[in-house]
Amino acid sequence: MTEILKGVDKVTFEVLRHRLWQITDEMAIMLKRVSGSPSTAQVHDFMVALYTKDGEILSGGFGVPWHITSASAACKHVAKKFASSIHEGDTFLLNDPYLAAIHQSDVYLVTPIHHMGKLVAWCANFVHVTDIGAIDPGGFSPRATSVFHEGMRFKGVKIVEAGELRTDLFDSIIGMSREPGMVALDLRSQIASNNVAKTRVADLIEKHGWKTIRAVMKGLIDFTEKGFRARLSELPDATWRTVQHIDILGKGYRIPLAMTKKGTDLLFDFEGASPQSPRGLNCTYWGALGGVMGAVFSLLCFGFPWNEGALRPVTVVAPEGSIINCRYPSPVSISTVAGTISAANGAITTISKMLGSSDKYSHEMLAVGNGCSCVIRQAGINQEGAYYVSGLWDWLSGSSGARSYADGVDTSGGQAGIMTMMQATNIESTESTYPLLYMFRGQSADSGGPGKFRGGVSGECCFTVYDAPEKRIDLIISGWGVEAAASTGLSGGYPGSSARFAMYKASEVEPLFKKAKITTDLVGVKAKVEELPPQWAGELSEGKYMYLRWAGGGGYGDPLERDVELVRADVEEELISKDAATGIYGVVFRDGIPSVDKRATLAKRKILRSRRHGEKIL
Amino acid sequence: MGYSIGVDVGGTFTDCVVISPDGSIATGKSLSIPDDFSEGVINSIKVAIESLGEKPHKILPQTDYFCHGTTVAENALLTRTGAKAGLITTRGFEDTILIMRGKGRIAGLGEEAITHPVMTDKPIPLIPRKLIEGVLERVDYKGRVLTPISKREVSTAIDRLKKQKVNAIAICLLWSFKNSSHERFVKETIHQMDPSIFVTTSSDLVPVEGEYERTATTAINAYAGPVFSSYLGALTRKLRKNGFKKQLLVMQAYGGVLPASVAVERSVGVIESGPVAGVIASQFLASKLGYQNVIAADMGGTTFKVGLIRSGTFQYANEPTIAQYSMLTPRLDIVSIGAGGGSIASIEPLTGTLRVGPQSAGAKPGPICYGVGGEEPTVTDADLLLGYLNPDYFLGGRMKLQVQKTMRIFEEKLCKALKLDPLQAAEAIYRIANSQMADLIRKVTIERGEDPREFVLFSYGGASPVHSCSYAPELQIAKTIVPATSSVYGAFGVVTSDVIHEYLLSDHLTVPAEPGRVSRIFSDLEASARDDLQADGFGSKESTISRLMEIRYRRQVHQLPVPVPQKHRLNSRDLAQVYADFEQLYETTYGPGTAFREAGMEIVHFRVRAVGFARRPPFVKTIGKANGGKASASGRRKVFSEKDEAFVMTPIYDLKGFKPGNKLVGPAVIETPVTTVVVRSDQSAEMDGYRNIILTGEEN
Repeated sequence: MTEILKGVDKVTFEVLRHRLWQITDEMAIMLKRVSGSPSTAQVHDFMVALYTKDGEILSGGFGVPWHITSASAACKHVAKKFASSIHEGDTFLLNDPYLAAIHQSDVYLVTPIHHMGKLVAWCANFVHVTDIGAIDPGGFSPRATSVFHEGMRFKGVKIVEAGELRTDLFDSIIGMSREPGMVALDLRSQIASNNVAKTRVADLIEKHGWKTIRAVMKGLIDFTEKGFRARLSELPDATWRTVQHIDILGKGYRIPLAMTKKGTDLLFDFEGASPQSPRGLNCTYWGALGGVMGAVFSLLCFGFPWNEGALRPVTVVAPEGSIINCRYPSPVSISTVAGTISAANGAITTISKMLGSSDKYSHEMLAVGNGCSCVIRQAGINQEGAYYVSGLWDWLSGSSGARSYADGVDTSGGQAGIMTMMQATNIESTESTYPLLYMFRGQSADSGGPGKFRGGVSGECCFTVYDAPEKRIDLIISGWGVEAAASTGLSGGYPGSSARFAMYKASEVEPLFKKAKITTDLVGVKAKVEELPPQWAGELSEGKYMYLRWAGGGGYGDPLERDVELVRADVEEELISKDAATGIYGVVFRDGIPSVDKRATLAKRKILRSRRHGEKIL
Repeated sequence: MGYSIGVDVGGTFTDCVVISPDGSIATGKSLSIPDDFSEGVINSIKVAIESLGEKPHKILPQTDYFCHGTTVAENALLTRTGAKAGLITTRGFEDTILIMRGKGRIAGLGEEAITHPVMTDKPIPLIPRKLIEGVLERVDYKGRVLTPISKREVSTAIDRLKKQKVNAIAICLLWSFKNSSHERFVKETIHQMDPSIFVTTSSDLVPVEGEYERTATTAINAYAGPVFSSYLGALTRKLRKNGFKKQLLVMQAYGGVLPASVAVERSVGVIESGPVAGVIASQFLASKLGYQNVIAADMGGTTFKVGLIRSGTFQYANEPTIAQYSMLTPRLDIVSIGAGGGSIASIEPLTGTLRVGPQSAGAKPGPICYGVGGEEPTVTDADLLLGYLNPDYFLGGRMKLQVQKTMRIFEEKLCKALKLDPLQAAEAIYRIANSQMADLIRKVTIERGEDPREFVLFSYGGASPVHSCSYAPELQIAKTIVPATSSVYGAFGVVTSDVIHEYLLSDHLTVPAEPGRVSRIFSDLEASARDDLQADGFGSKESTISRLMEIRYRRQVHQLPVPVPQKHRLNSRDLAQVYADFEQLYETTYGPGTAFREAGMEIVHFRVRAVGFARRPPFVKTIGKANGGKASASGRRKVFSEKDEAFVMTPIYDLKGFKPGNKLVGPAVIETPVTTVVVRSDQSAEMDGYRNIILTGEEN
């Protein structure tokens, strides 16, 4: 450590470490305050971070972790491209997924930080802007077959020049959106967020001197690298494997991952991934890298600042032209919640397997939760008679995978079970803003992957149009994980439930609702049901009811080893059904629910175990 | 004019302040009794009253005001010893309080927890799934009934809960703040079926949009309600026995007091009201001393807490949480970090750097120097080694602090790794703790657009003035005040609080709204306000009523309160002015260009606030004018000087020997049995006419 912190007092180091996190925290607050949009202020679909003058990650803050690495690439690109024309007071806008950003709707704003006229650092953020003028409203475009269908794409432009907003450019950008007013707010919040970071970093340099700050920046990165490598050296050398699947228009795409740990280095190799798809679920290399690093930060870098040091021991290899590293001009607008999430799921699984090989770290294992996308965007005329584009975020109530010592967290927020800061909006807030009415929203029994410790349960909801002047709105679904469950289990634990999108049609549902007989369970309802493909654009009109179930968390260990008392409690709390309790967990109840028949349970578990002999394993 | 009594029930101590009709103050402290908190209250009153040479049964009949703050409700919540509570909600939405919008896993947690997701969990449910009943009913976003509620449904749900022996029921239905008839129906049905059950409805408690937060607030209220109610009952009986005749008043987390008869229905409002009392005390003191902007900093055993007073008024929290549950009841904005006297200093194993907190040794096992089992170096231990604390005068000498043992453990646990001697290690702990406190103050000032240089720091709580001499200059805060009542500050805050009733009605009205409708809403709310003030004994001269409308831009989530003129009949010109004020306030608050005007505005809440002024006895200066006399030191010892980066022989003063107007120049340490004030060599201290210590930096 002494060599890491040459010339910097240890106490100052500790003080500054927390200051940097605090600065990113303040950037996040500024985004939420200025934008005031549900997506930013309530759902937290954004990221904020600080970078060194070379674009290395200095402090990854609160927000979607996939973007920490790709915003670094954005800083590096701008630094190289604009070189001598980067001036104090400039801010650059970039959203090209082939250069750095993961998909076009996550617009990056990158701002240089100067000290005495010299470039010393960068700050960057993104928010998921409301609409970028793509073929489908809302930015996720299931119908796009090329990046040219996916809306505006910038390779880096000066949106603010020497402190002045370029209104010509600003007006042109918002003019390309279906929602110019909302996008203007999004962009303004991003500028304000970077401005605050710039001021705070400048104050720090003013107070402590550039020499000290430079040493601390370097020290922090070295600290994380050293700590991370030390942690890796405590884990065994080996290769761990997993395969993830994405279903696109009825076709399955395989994403195998082999993670090799040798000494203090980690290699993630996606060799064998299926060729790229004609639809936008592909990701570019930046998406694959971001997904892997999101898992690395969350599962291996606790206790260290999230910075470049975490990246140094890691190599990510993804075959070109594959779904995990597609070629220009393939569509990628759904990548953040498809290719990237799938890369994260794979990395979460292989990292957990590695952690499970160590007595010291096995309690850090985590199965995948909420492993696939259930993104729904909506557009139409609202109850005030105005055109709008927005999202529906119920699925971000999420679910989390099981741990080696405890169940996954039920409806735990976010995606993949590690993005804990993303969350759903209230139904009352949705119904008051958009022309919709919910039949139910609840936790979904049996959605948690069975195991000795089960995955966290996900949820389900059902809604229809209500008070819509046109009696209809557009729905755009950009999901997957219907054909094959995406939330992988661990150590014999089952995967979490798959996603389900369905449209209940005909008048039969409506009278039921009117007569107040609708229940939380649509299974018994006699209505024409259309199972929707997970990538779909169509309309929700009166008399139609949209049903959604998002993915549950993966389980850990053999469900036949689950404590009988825990199974009983789960049944009582409606987290697993009686059928699953008996059929999967082998727990037999006496007539009523509360009482377990111990002898019958032992016998049942014996039968279930013996049935496994000779079973074909896929 | 009679006596006023303030009592603050804390986790460890119960503090009491008695203000005599002549304005003189007596204080008392006794141990809290968790099995029966009301007993501890009576004990502390005895101690205070006996210090006046009187008896409780003599003084209590002459007492006009009895205000108190209590941890009873939060204690029930944190130890999960509240009621067996059930919840009745809209069928199809039973899981709302369990799902917590997916945010309950990290709500209210900090950097450490957020960056280690595997280890985060939701709180254990206050109301388990089997005690949640969904009933068939539905109201839409405009308050129209889509599915009427049925008596049979409701009775069946209540029966099922009764079979499981609940003693409290929370009721929260979708859109009940728009149409409360269904909730009222459920409540009445419960009363008919079993009047002994404690019932709370969301439309009475927090008629505000957002079903998760509304349900959570209502559920906590039901959970803590019965415990709180029986505590208030016991306390009232004991006070009555001693001759107290007036209304018992209870501190609320939003910064006012409520009569027990109202407070008993709103236990959620008293949770975490303890630190609020300190901010109220600061507000009162600031108004007496003529300060507009105050940073109120409280350092206790486990946490450091900061609240702000800006232009004489306190600030409310944006997204308040209790035990990871999001709350809708207004609460003062008080931010805390785990940097208290008991915060543990440890070595980060990988790098060898020193870390302070957030783990705390608390009161047990406590710091090493207390000698009650503590084996980990803490901030208090560092303060001792640096000479700030007097080992022979802690709690007035009742507890002898152990210097040798502290040195030995510092040597073992810190010195080898840091290559520092124990005193250098103590200095490092002191600096890190101070920088964390400075960071927290930055967070509540600079990050919210406030300049700490425009504030005065009030430093209270046992260990606070040992550290404020260091972090205040770092933030360029020119003046620090250590209040005379610092040791019983909470009790002092409670007794100086106004009675504040809040009335709220939710009704989304698109702007421009019809003036007649707005006038009617306010008239109705104000009629209740006037009735309540009258019942509390406040005439129109001792009270005020004010009105606010909360407005937002459609499609944006932030709503802001805007004052509305106190006219019986508002016209469209009045309202146009209110809308203009809102537009201006929005941009002042969130920055230029932040308003999405095209979407239009809507009024979401109508609020009326009724304030009955506390009849505070005259608060007298001990002397009329400072005489500038010099204080005399009671001794000298070696104390660490930050400025000299060395130990220097420093004069020690006993606060008892201090007289108003006495001045001294640092370095110095001023001691009392419970508080120690450190004055740096670049600072001077003076006692004002109210016996507060005022620290100022060197004149530049």
